[in-house]
Amino acid sequence: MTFWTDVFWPAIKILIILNAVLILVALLVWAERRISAFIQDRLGPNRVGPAGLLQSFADLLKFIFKEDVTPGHVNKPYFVLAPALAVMPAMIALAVVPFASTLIIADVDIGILFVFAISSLGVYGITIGGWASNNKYSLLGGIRSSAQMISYEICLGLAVIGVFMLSRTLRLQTVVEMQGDGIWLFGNHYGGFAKILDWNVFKQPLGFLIFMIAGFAETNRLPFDLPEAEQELVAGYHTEYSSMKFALFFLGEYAAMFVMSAVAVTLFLGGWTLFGLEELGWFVQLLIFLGKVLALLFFFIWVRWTLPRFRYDQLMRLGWQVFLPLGLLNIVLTGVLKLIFKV
Amino acid sequence: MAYKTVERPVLTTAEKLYLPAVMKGLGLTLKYFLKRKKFTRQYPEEPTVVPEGYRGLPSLVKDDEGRVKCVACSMCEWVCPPEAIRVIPGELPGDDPVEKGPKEFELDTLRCIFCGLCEEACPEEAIFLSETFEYCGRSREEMIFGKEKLLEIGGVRAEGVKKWKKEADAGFSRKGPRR
Amino acid sequence: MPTLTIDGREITVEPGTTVIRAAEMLGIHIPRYCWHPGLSIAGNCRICQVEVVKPKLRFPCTVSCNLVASDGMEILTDSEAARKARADVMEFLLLNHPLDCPICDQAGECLLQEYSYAVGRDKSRFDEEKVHKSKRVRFSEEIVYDGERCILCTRCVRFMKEVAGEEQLAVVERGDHAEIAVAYGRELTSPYSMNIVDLCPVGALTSADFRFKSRVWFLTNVPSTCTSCARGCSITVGARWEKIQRLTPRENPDVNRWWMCDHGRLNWKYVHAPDRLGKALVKDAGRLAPADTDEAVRRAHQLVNRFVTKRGADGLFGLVSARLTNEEIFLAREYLAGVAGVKNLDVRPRTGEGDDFLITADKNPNSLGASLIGIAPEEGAVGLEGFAEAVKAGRIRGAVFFGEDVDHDPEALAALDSLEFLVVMDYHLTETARKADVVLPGVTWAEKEGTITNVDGWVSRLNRAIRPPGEARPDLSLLGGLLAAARPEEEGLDRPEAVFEALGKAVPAFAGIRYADLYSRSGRVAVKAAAAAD
Repeated sequence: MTFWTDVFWPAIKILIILNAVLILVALLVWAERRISAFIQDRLGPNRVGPAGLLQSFADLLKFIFKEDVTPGHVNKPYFVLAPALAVMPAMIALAVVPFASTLIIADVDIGILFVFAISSLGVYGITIGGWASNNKYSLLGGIRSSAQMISYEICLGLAVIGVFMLSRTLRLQTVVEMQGDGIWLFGNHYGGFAKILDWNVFKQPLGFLIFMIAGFAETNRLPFDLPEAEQELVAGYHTEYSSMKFALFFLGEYAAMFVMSAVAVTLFLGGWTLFGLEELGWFVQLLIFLGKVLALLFFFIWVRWTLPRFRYDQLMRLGWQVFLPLGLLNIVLTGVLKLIFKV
Repeated sequence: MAYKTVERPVLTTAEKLYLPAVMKGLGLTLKYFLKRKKFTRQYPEEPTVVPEGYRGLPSLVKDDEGRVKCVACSMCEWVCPPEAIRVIPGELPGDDPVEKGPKEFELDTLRCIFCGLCEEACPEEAIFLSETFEYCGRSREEMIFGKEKLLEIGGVRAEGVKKWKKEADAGFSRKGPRR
Repeated sequence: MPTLTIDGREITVEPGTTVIRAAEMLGIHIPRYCWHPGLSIAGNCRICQVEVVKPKLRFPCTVSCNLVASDGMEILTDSEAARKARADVMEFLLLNHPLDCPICDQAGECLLQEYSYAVGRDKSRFDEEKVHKSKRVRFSEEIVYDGERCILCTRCVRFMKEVAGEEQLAVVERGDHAEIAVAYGRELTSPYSMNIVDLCPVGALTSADFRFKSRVWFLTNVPSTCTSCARGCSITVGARWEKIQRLTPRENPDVNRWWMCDHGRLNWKYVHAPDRLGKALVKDAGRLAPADTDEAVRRAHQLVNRFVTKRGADGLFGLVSARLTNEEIFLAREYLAGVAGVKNLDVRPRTGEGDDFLITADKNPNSLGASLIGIAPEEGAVGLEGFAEAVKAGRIRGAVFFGEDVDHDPEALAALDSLEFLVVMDYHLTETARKADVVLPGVTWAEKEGTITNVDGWVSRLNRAIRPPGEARPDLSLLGGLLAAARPEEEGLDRPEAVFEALGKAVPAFAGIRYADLYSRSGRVAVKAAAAAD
């Protein structure tokens, strides 16, 4: 244990990654608004900075200078705590995400467990926020969020078990590396473009599908945004929030989206590998990784502006009666195939 | 109680999967996403085209000879539901057939609800709801528009009532013909 | 005494009564332009057509203003025939009317408009060019004439001749060119000339003072009483935007009938003068400084109280204005004579020219009230005349002026400087008030409620028409405050109604008049009523 390896470089990495992610999140909000606008034949924010890129930063300034209203009827300590709780888990989960072969803050052996453990804390922010607001809508939003989280956490977990049955480790870096070694189906005698076929998404299509859908539910995104549900719950858990507290909830939601996409890329889409370009160094790997994440994020946004919200009973039925059995089935299938192909 | 049995459509297995419909929906939104033509109007650069009959800021008009049409009859003031109009009438100098005009005409744009009743009530066709909707100020006092400002917004309307013309067109002497 | 039936209702009237008057007694309104109860019958407008069922006439309709009631007569005022007759008359009257109601000051109280709505046509059948006559003719400084609107009812001409007694107006030209004009070689100078503006049933005669100021329907009309002389004519105050816009006479058979003088009508500008007091002033280190009103009232009482305790009331002089209301004068007396024991009480007389019609020589509106209540120097006490000398002699060393000043008398004004203290209550900052130690901000007649007693003993109401400026308060409330400071144990008196009741108990002349009855009528004080009955 030295200062350089254990303190300095991780600190630098944290700085880089945290800043990069926060900026990306800001751009993500802009992208959300632009993409939704384009889908609706509008232009969206296009005034602040080139193509409106700086819109989110202008909004951030606005949030900072806005009056921070704390209603009189709220439970103040929890009311203040909730937004921080919403944003922290997403940030912490970034610690184990392998951005490149060397760019990972903490290369722990139980990477995915860590991600699940931390990201499921995110629900506390929402639930506490909804409860502390002392408001029917907010409380309903918080309760919905926790129920939804419990239901879909299980599917999420089941979906990735198949991946780890193949990789035989929970270390995310290994999962990424494994997705190019060709031990599954085709052997190790090809390279280039065909390497893509070795991604877990092709080995675990059902797992990927369940993971993505559960991911939507976990991040409270449409079609599963029942905790917010503007039309029914008047923005749900953050009805009473204003100014920077509201902005933190917002930030938390988008950061969680980013983490979810990053984990999906790591587990299913080959992480920082692409066509062997990853040989060019860590920076290219980072670009590849971010490119994939952004593509997934685009998909998140695209889905949001396409699909309507599920009804609450539909949401629950889907989680418990469809994805839970499917997830179990996926595990059994994977096991059987593993036996057949002896890998 | 009368009731009606609603026939629920029977879904096929493919339909029950939802996924094909989801794909179709995604395809549709993607098509719109890639479409070049957008409806957004780049407002300050591109002027807004207001529809016909648009009810913007009420304004006073002049006739084609540059005379204020308003006779300060206060009908608009009387009819105005939010009491946004205040007319201070005055006597016009000289020997004109029109004796009365607005000395001051105040419109509190903050109170105005753009109902158009002033336009309807005006017997002289002197007040119109213009197409102006862009106006601002830094204080409440600034938002009370005076006669000059309202005349500037209103401009000229040659058609309609011409109170100055009545006598000139008649071709009679001031005392009228002897019969 | 003939008994006739109008619209199925019977009425017995004095012989010689016209049908229109009989209908008036029944509360039936027959349209009229030229007829006015205070003027002679001209019968030229023809709008007062009624159907005469009995006795049978050659034509079913005739004018009711000149139709003397006879026994067994049967009249229908709103029958088909009467309405038709009136509609025809209306059409003729409107032939050459310019229909410029939007700019006409009479609009809203115009009889042409009213009867046109009642029986007129909605379209003119006259497609010739209308006759054009003179417009904007200045009859005098105050009166503007519009010949085109005129329907030649001659009310104005008859008023000048019969009521004002000065034949200054006449009908000139003939036929459809006839107009009203100032009679050849004369000027419209009568002090009552502006009554023709009210008389004019249309917008032909307008007041230059009120001309184009406000449409009449915007005005808040409050019945009140003119305070320009001791006549106390009943008036209506038309106010808008908390400003008086015009004063018009109000019918009162006991006092002024339908009329008032031009001076009284135009004498309201001072109500909105810039030197009005909006705040109490208290002398502080030789200079008058704004103060809280309640504080100033307390301070004023303190000054009076200290002086009386130290030197007794004989050195105190009280000047109470005869422009104040009965209630205010009563409270002022209660305070000065009752509480402080002042014997040197007086009013400031104001005299001017009077005539034998309405204008009185006494220019104080409430002289009779003041003397009935007892504002006069007692035997051997100092009055206003001896005031300056008494101050010089050191007999008077403190003074309280309620609603009054001595600006007219330089000697008295100079004497104020040597007083130990001076309390003034007034509505504006007079020279006298400038010398005061405490100035209480009172109000004018337009801003307060109360009663005044006119020269003939008629008690009429003032009513509040506008808000007082700033923190100024009705004098009654200030005086009530002084009394309350003097007698903290007693129930406060500052509502006009309660004070009037107390006045009735204390001064027998006012007993028997109920305050509530006075809102639009006058009551008469006992002495004058008795004198009139003799």
